[in-house]
Amino acid sequence: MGAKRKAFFRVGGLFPGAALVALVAAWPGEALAQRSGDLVKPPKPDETPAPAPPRIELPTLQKDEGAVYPAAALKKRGREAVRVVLILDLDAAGAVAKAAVETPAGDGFDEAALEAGRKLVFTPAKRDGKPIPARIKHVYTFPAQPGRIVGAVASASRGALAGVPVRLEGAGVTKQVVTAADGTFDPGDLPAGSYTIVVEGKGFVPYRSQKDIAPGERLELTLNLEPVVLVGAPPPPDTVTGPVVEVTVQGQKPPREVTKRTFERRELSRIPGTNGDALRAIQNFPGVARPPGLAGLLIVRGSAPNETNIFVDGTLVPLVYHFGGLSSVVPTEMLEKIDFYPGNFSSQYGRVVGGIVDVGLRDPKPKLHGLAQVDLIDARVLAEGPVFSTGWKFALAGRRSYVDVWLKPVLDAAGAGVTTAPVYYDYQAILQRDIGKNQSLRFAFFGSDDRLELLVKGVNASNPGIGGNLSFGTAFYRFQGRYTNKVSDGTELRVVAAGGKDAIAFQLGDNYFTLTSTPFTLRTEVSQKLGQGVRMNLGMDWLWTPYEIALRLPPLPRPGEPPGAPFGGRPPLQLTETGTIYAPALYDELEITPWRGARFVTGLRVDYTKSTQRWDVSPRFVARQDLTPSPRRTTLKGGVGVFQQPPQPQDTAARFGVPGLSSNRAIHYSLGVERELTKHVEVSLEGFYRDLDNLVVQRVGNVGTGRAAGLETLIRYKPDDRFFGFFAYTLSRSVRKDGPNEEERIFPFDQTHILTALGSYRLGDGWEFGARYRLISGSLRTPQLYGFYDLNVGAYLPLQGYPPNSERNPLFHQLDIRLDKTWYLKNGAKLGFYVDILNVYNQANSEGVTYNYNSTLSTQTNSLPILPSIGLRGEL
Amino acid sequence: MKAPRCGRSLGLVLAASALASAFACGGQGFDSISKVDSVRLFAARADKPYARPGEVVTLDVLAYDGRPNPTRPMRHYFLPFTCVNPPADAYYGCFSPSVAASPDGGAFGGASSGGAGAGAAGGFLGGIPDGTDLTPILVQGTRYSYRVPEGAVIARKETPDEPYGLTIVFTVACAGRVVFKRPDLATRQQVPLACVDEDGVPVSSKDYVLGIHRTYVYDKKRNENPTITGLTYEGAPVDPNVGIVVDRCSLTNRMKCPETKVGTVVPEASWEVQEGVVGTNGETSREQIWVDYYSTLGEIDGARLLYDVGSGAVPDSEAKLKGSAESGLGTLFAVVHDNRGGVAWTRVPITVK
Repeated sequence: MGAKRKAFFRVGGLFPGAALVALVAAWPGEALAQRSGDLVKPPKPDETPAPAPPRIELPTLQKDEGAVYPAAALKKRGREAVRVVLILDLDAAGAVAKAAVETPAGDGFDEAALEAGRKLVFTPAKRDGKPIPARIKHVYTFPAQPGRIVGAVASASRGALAGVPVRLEGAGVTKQVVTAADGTFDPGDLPAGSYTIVVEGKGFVPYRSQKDIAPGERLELTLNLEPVVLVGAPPPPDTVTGPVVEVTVQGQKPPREVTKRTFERRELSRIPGTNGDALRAIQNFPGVARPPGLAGLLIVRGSAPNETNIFVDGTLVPLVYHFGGLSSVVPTEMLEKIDFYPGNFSSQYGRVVGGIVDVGLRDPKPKLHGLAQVDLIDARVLAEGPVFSTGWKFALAGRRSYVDVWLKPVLDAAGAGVTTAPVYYDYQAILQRDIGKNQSLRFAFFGSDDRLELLVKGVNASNPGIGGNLSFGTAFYRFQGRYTNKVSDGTELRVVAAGGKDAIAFQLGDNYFTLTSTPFTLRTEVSQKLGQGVRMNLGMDWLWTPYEIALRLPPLPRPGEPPGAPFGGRPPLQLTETGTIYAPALYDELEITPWRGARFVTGLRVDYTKSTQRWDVSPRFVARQDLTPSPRRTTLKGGVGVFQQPPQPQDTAARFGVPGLSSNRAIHYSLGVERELTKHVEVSLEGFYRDLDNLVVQRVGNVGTGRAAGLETLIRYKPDDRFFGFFAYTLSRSVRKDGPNEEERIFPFDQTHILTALGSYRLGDGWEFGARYRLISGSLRTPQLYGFYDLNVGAYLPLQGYPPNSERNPLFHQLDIRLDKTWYLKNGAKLGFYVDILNVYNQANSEGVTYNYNSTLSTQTNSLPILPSIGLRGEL
Repeated sequence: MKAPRCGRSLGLVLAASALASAFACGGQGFDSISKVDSVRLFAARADKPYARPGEVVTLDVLAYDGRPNPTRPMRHYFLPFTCVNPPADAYYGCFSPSVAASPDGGAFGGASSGGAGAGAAGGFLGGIPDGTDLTPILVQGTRYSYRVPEGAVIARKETPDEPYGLTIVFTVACAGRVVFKRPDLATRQQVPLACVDEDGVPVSSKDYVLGIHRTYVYDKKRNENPTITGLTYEGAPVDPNVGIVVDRCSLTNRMKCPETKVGTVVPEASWEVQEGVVGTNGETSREQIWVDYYSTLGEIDGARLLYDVGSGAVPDSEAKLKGSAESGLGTLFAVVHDNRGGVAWTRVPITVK
């Protein structure tokens, strides 16, 4: 950032002053020469012959270390060239005796020029061969400062993409480069300004984004391209406008669904109150109700938690949170993205009537990278990089909780003899490589393990059966293989196969439940272009799960039925059984783009369920129409579809359930509009209605019905260099009816108002601050009344108030904040620290009511008080 | 179809509820169930916790009037019939004549002995107007006998390998008159009785308790009531005649008052094998046994586990006892339960000095 210099010389004797005056008079004017080498010019001839002038030799520049560009001026004046003229007094040796600014430029330029000017060294000026002092002008010109945009281009399926053209247009220049073998690109210095970045990889949705670079700024991007799956006319250039953020930008194409919410890693890992846990962040999405406390339940558009399925790259997983909500089983660091479909989802998904969450594991990075993080809950490590020069890339990650360290003493103090304090693990291993330009192969192994064991010595007054040896464990793992192949311009193949094991074991006294299953799943989809604007997605979704179950448990009451006795007070159900869940499905989707901005997706899914021996046919339709194009796109969207969920195994079991049941059924309707207000701000409004029927009522049959309706509003500021955030509000109502002669009741998971506002801002210098505020209707509860005394077990049994869920807890409101600090070290290493504070103003939110032993007195049970959490992370 | 997530959610719910119940309750500033200051039922002991068809079962009820200043005497009554195999084993099915026979084939009826009649309670009470005084037809006292019907054991869909029968007896401890109260929607699960004063006004919850006792009937299975060989106080045996003497603990000094320990001695012979119950480790399970404490003076832990189904005798199973703020003489009850309906109790004087 050195300044260019020019010197203008006036030669004369500084001592005595007369000589100086004479010299200045002899060479008046602004400039005698542009460079020191051109400085010596003969005096103008005079009309009158005069004595021979003295022979003057001008000083010449010998040494110039250059002026340093003042950093403080970068932002303000980095886009312009700044010129500073110095007056230098040279002594007879050629050194700078005095330096002064002739025309101040301000903003630190004068000081920078003076500092450099004082270090200049010249050959002395000479008169008739004798060195003399001199006064000269010396100019430093600080040129406009360039910026730089560098980065890497990759795809989720193929990793780093080589040879992809990257074009940058703006600030009066256009530069085009192609990515190197490792996917990186570097177009060199660029004038500061606004640039349009266009990446057009063959077979990928063109990427286009607008970025500003400031003078001296270096912007590093990692751009993920989405494979083209649309048939016919390619998406208009303005289809993809996702902003580039720190780590990853998800390339986007119009979704197959009415609403697909994809949040980026920065958003998911920085939401206050989630401890950086991306999967917990889902609970902030519009349409998702607040679960009580730290529970990890996903309550989507008035559905029960078990009516939403969770996948990891298309593979169904049995659980997503450790201990029901403490922390998710896949750490944020391993995630590429989370796709959340609150309803009207694609025909590729089925077997639930609620929503879908599909978690995408990311491919390993092509360069060696490591990470370690510790917080109050767990510690995790991750390593990834290339496998020598084989073309394969690997990632290994693991996590262990140390809740046991602090919870064991707590439980001991509470009177429990702890054998195994609560502890959880999870692990992930990925091996991925690209095969040629169009194929990608990836193997993944991931799993989770939670367990605790303790002896409860105390006996609960209201439920004496709870006590004694209590153990609980859940574990699962999956081997997953994924193969993608872009067979031709019009044909793509995607296969995801997985096998693994699920295990759950629960024991309380002489009651127990153990389930071991070995699920195998296979998803295959062929996407074929049929013609201009028409593409077909034909797929198979196959599930085969042998299982073994052993249980000894008290019978569960039917809905609305009071417990017959405290836990263990009734003859238990006892069963040991093996069986197989077999549920193959075929689906077909037709994506039609009849005209610009329109998109219709018709789908049909056919499921077979072995336990019911029935076929479920589920037609679905989605339409989207852009009313105005980007960058102020307005899209009208809507959909209607049939969604079916087979009964649970226990519902159809000969002993516990009702044989001959069929699937629960829901018809989803939705209608909404999306509008881009600015480059970063998007607004969406969507109404939904669900009509449920044929619902399984435990031990009764397919007699239940229900409905859920609501309105979701989302104002979202998509991540830019500094800020991201959103404001989400959902108004909803969900009711169920347990039979034609039963009264309609509010569904236990109903929450009328759900408002979430959050944002996170990068303060600079590695600091980032975020806050989340939630204002949500209280959860429902059924009041208890003074009942009777169970003489067998010695406990009062309350009466359950009627109707069920007739009371609602007070309004929930809470503010959470998060502060991150990242130090950027040498060689790309980073050190991060965060503090995440839950319930900043310590609001005593009610989570329910606690009753005394005979339900004649009650008091409010509050949620968590102010709870700070801290973490430390290092990355190489 | 998903993997059987029912199990997962069930397990989670049970584990969570177990943990929550074990560690979250009992606080909130409420009086413990062990503090006796009202009309109370503590337990009912059937001489045959598991009965056989045709046998006579005798129930003894431990009822106590702990009210400091009673205005009306407490009396204990049995409803004069035994409910046998109500639909879905639900106690409230005993009072619903309109309820159809359950898929299990449940039906009301049976023979009785010692009490009044036995049979379908719903039919028995079906025509009675609300507010009818039932006191004249109730069986007063704390002992009640009935004969189990010969056909009480029936096959159940849910437990086909182990048919059983269920008999239910209803009791009430009431400081007033017992009247019929037809349940409404809000109290549809309630036993249709109410305790009222002389003016027919329902008394407070401190003046009455409704009780339900179930005896399961098997063709072969047996269960014996546990036995109590004595209590201990601070590790030493308690003389039943002298009882426990504890220092007074003033309200202002409660945190500093020493906690003493009370134990109940139940011999290992009471820790019976549960026939046909095999734990997850493949071993035959034994009973779970716990003790409930009730005291008219002082503060004592409500209940403690004595025997676990797998690991047996629980160490450190004594309950903590503190003296009350007022000195005086009271009674401490220890009621031992096993998880198959077996019950035993003992009582000793407690003196706060």
